[in-house]
Amino acid sequence: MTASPPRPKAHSDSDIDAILAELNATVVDHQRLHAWVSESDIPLARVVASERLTYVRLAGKDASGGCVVLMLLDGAWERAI
Amino acid sequence: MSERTLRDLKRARVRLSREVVVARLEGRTRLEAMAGALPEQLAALVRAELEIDSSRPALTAALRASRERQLSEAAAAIAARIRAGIDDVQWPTRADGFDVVTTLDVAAAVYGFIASCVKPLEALVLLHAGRGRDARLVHRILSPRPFFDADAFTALAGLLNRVSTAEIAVRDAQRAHEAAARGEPLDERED
Repeated sequence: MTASPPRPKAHSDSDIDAILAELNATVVDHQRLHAWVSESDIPLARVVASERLTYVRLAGKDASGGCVVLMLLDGAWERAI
Repeated sequence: MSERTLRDLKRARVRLSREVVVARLEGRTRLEAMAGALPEQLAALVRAELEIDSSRPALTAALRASRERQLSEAAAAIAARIRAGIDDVQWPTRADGFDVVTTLDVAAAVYGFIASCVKPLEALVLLHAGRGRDARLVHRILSPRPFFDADAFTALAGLLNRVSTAEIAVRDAQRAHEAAARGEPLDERED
């Protein structure tokens, strides 16, 4: 029997706010997202970076078990889902 | 052989057309559902912010009526834009790097579109709410997120995956037909 991979840790609201603050400080447009992803240790389930749509989905859930999608809208990152 | 591959190609194209039509129909249905609810839900928040609500006596009747008219017009325009937005959503596709489209991929694409649609309500609040109102706070208050049901896009994600599968089938059938036209045996074709 093989061990299943560890489940990503849940993100509290303050964790999510901290990630948003980091994104807002370092990723001002879609072209800089992949550089941030390569340097970040936050597990991500999806990274989408195009001119019209840029977002990341965290691998971990929020405190209530919901998925977390952070999106770049009008030059600012916010939680979309 | 060429007749057979041509027939296969035509079938694949018909199937792709059918899958696209079905997916677009579901997309329109989802947008219609959002257009029917979301603008009014956000307008209720604007009413509270601007004290248009008749239970609040601070505004004169004329001012309240004027703001209510502007708000109704803005909400109607947003609903119309959402309803007609099938080609404005950045739908996730295999060509964009999505091997498999998930419910959340579709929801994120729709959210990005919706967030752009509701901006006029923020502008309305900032116009009327008085000096010093923090634009970022207004943006947070009027976020569509609380009213956004990501799970509503599960069926559409499945349909978009079917479109991708049908696109691959067309591509493969096209290659097979071209190979057949060149007289190459089927088993020596490129994949």
